[in-house]
Amino acid sequence: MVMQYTPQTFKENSAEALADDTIRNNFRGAMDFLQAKRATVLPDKAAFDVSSKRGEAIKLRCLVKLPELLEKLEDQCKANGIHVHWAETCEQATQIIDDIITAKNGSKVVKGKSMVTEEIGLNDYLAEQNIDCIESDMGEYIVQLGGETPSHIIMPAIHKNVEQIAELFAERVPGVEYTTDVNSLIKVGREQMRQLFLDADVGISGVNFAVAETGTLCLVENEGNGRMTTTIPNTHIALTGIEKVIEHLADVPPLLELLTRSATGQLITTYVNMISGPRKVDERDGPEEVHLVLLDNGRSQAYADEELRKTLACIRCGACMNACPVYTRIGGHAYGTVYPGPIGKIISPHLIGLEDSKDLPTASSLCGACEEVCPVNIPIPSILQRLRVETNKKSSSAAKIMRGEGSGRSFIEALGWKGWAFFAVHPALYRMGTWFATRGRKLIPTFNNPWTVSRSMPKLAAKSLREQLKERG
Amino acid sequence: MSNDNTSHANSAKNNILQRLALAGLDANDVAAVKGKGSVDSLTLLVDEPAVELRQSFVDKMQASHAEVIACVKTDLQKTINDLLVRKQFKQLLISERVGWVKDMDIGDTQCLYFADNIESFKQQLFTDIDAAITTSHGSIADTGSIILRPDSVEPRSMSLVPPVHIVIVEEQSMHPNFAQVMKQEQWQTCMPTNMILVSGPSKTADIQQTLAYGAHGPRELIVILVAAV
Repeated sequence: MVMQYTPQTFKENSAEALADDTIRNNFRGAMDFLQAKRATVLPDKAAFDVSSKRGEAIKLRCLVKLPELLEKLEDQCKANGIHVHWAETCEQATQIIDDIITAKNGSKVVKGKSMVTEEIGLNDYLAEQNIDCIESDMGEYIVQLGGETPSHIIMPAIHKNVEQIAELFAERVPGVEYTTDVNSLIKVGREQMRQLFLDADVGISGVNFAVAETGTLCLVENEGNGRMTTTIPNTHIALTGIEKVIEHLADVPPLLELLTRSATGQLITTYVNMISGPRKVDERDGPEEVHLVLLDNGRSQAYADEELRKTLACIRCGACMNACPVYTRIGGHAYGTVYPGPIGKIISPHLIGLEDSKDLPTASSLCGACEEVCPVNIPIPSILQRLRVETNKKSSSAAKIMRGEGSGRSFIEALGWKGWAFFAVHPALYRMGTWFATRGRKLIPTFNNPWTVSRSMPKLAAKSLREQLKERG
Repeated sequence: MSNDNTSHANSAKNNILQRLALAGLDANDVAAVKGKGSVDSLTLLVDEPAVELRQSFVDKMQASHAEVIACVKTDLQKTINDLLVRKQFKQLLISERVGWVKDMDIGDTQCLYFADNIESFKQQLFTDIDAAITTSHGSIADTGSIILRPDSVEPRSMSLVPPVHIVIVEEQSMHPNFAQVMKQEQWQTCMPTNMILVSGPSKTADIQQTLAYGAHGPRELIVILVAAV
């Protein structure tokens, strides 16, 4: 049975995932594999520090210049013959895409792997308009076949093992018998998809880097479905978040190197596809129309704050997920958001509001593994702490930093902290308090809360540390 | 598009730019990050002897599961001839740049040019053509990549749709790394409609991390590496 998870039920989702041995095995195996592969191409910590600092510098430069670069990108794309559209919200983005497809009388759409299309809920939206939108990336195809959502931004079907995929194919693909031979399964996907590429009117893709200087859309992939999607159908629509724009073409090689090494442990992916316009008069293939849709959907909210802006430096490699002890144990679906894992915890509050995602920033021990592997040095743990502050702060009528800020504030908790703060700055009261608490420690009841469910409650010492030290002299 | 849509589109753009302006970043902030991390300040540019570049290219290509056949320029036609005799393709798509393949004695293999727009022979391209031969724009040693610059003679789908892609790579067009070739050839001034780096046959590891070749693109990539002498 397929469940659609929501971030509001994050705690329940996590408990369910933790109790599921198959999920835990699948993720543990996959994360160990991806981390080991990454280590083979990034063996030298000092060299990684140099290249990640460079990546960080490039992305921060491009972010500071973002408004200018977006306009430059638009001008350059238009000069190259690419149509450019701006969407503030998911609804606007789906409407723009729907309008383009309708104008081309399109009924069959093939999609390359793109998390932003997941973000805007494109497949479901197009299905409602009676437009078939089929995923062509093998992982996405598996996920779509199962009526699920991706559980990892790079490896969408990572939550499934080969036996589960074999069962799914045998059940859902006509004429396919149960086999766990991966080559045979991939061949099934290939054949299904070839017909689709032939028939599709429109191809939809994401973008890894959008180069302002040249109006070039870079797509990075191994399978070739991205190239098929952007080459064979008559119309190509590329959808990207506004943060993906970079200044120079020369910024691509250093970022590309960080992306592929961090994501899949490859020196480079099989294909790096650089698209700078539709088919020219003398050319014999490629789409006759290319559209670029630039999506905001909350990114500008993150942009306005200097610390939160660093969230937008992300190049979507997924290394933070692979390194995260929480993600490895609960998997990608439990988060209930399009982007799971550490990056999901810091980007989702901007996309869907802090009220609906307020539990996510708390799901971290702040161990720092994510920041350590991040190829652009996003300080994820500090941003998580900042989001906790935003979640719990007192709402005021002053200009808001985040949609849903203060939504996690509890009166009792706030009162408790206030009381503690009062005691802490009044030494006499504080000492008296600790004297009573230590002497009366037997009277403190055992609280029944999530912490004590699986741990014994810590007991107060008989005397405070200050008293003990005093006695020692 | 109607005027309504245009004004609607403009307002989306303006609203986004207005929200970004809330960050309050000014000319000083922009000046402060000028050139940060840019390629001129990088240590990416190297000057290694050609023989090492060649070895790196071959090693990386083979590691990516590509077949590399080395030959000297004077033996190129013979090398291709031997390969085609060995492979016995039924329908072979060739670039006009290697028109001489048509005159070879390669058994029953039928050679075709990509002579018309893709729409006129899409079905054939997808179902009947076994392989394609193209040239290349250059290559990159440190990642083992070939650079393709598709045009009217060698359209994009030649290196994508047929199950086998045979590509001729001139050793003298080899560059140490991606950043260097981009800089040397000033790509920012001359980007064509489409440019592609290819580093092996199409592959996927989407099923339980098990690597499988021939996902959507060519199952086989055969690189003919041509030395000048």
